[in-house]
Amino acid sequence: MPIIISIIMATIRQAAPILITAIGGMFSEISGVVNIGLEGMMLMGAFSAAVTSYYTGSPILGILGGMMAGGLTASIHAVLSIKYKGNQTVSGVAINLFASGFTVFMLRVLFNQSGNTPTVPKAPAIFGVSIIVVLIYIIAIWSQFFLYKTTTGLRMRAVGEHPLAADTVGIDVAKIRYFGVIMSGVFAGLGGAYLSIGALSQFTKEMSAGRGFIALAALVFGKWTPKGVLAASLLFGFADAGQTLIQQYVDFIPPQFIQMIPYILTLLALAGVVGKAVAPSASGKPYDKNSN
Amino acid sequence: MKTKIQNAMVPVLAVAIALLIGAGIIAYLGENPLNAYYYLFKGAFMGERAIARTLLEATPMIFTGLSVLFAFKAGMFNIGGQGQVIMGGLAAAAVGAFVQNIGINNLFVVLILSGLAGFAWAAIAGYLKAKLGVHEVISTIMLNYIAMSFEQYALNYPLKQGGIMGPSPQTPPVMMASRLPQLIPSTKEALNVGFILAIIAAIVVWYIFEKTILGYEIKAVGHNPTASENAGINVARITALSLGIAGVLAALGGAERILGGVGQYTYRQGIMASYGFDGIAVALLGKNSPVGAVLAAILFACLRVGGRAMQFNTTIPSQIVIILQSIIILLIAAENMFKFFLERKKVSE
Repeated sequence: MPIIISIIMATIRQAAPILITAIGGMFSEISGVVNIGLEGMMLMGAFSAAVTSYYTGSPILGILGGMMAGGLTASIHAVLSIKYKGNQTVSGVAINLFASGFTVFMLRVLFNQSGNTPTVPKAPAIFGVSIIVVLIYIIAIWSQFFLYKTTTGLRMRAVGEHPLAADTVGIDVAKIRYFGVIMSGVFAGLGGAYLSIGALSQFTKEMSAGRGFIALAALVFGKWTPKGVLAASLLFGFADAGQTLIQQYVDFIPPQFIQMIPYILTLLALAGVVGKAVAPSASGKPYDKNSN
Repeated sequence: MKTKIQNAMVPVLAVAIALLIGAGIIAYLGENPLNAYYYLFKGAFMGERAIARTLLEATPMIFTGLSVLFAFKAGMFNIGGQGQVIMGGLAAAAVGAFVQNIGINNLFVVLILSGLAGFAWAAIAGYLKAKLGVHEVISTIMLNYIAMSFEQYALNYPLKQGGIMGPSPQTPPVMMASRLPQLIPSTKEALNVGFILAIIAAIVVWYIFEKTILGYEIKAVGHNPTASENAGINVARITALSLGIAGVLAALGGAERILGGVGQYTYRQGIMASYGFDGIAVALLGKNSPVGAVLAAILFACLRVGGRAMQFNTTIPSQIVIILQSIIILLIAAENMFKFFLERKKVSE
């Protein structure tokens, strides 16, 4: 029995950074901007959270610092994609590259280290659960309400499906998209903050370790809906947390094959084998008033 | 003609602006930018050894840059270069190390099998796109991560030197007959015939797009799939085939790392660095032309190699070149920004 509880707890913890980053990706894509820079935004968030916590001594400010850094990084993506109508995939690739270079560069400049920061104050925990995890699940539940019950949420979905129609009824397409993209960075930054000052108490080089892409997978596998994303993140978190347990019972499967599960499931979902996943129809297309 | 010059100006401007921003960062950190850039240049170009090192680093990036370019021409974004490099490298390492004498030319056979591995891996995304309309960006990202896990599996289990109990996760070295000959052995920098193959690949890619029907069809599909379909081109076939060929090119870049002796002819962890992703930057900076890709790959290699020399001689961390590289890509992504400013200027005149 205690084993089951510890696995459930581990699943909830491991799913948290994936979940919040996927919710972030949802905010961006649902409003019509593809965001494959989530990984980089997460890494920037992890780094800034640790650095802020180190210099201020306050992990609460650290959480805010992580969210702000994610949001700032996302605003680069927003300006390029929305204002200059640049290629969103290219911009995302550049952001991931920038984050991996910038964080290690700053590690050397600030701490003269190449692998990690010194130990920093860690975010507090309630009954052994980091407050960041609690915050993440609250945001996930809120996002369901936000996207389906509030004016802004409904407008975001309209802009992502049919920007011209939204524009015609007076919705400011660019403004809504800026909001969606910047929120995606804020959330990815929070996911990053969990990694550095929630799960650990330091930043280590490349600590996002592909979670931004797993989040992207969770977004697709969860069919761009909050409920779906929650379920997908928990499943992927379980694949992560349950790895050691699965190993004990089915030792003939190498761990690397268990690591592949999220990605294979996502490919199958895209192929329609496990329920067809369809992206918001205007996602990835810049909106130009004059060319429509 | 004027637009052609303008087109070539964007990459040059992007690099210049990135270098200026870099100079600002260097100055802010209290070093002399000219001094730092001098060490960068010296480390990348001064002397036979430095040049060999730079061209060696450029070789896989030429292959992956051509790979991304090939898919771009067909209107697709191949983010899967990393997975294709890994699969090509693993195939080369496996066949090169474990299959004894094949009879004919071992090296040739190993290269073909490596290319086939890349073709098959990339064609999964090609097939999903052609038959089911799955966007290649998402599918190739997923395939990258599957390939990375598979790489760890292969290095720890079936291909591990000395069996599962072997000391470290790497393959045995490939046999003599499957190695790519060294170009300048005296430098000990492992610059090998793979570089020549990369240049030949660039020429072949150029030839395909300029002189063959296949190249014409690929460009047509990339330009307007609906019109191509109506004109009798088998769009599904061209789509799957283009991604497959892109996979072959990336895989050969992976094969070069193994067969060229970069890591004592073994496949080791981390040997594929981020060459697949670098290909995206190379193709973008090279403005989708094979010549441009070769030049862009050499430029990025020069930054990498020179960056290490700069870190050695100054207090500037070598990662600054990664930041520069990302700024270059961001500026190219925002190509419209240049046009935006130019037009604004015209209006104000």
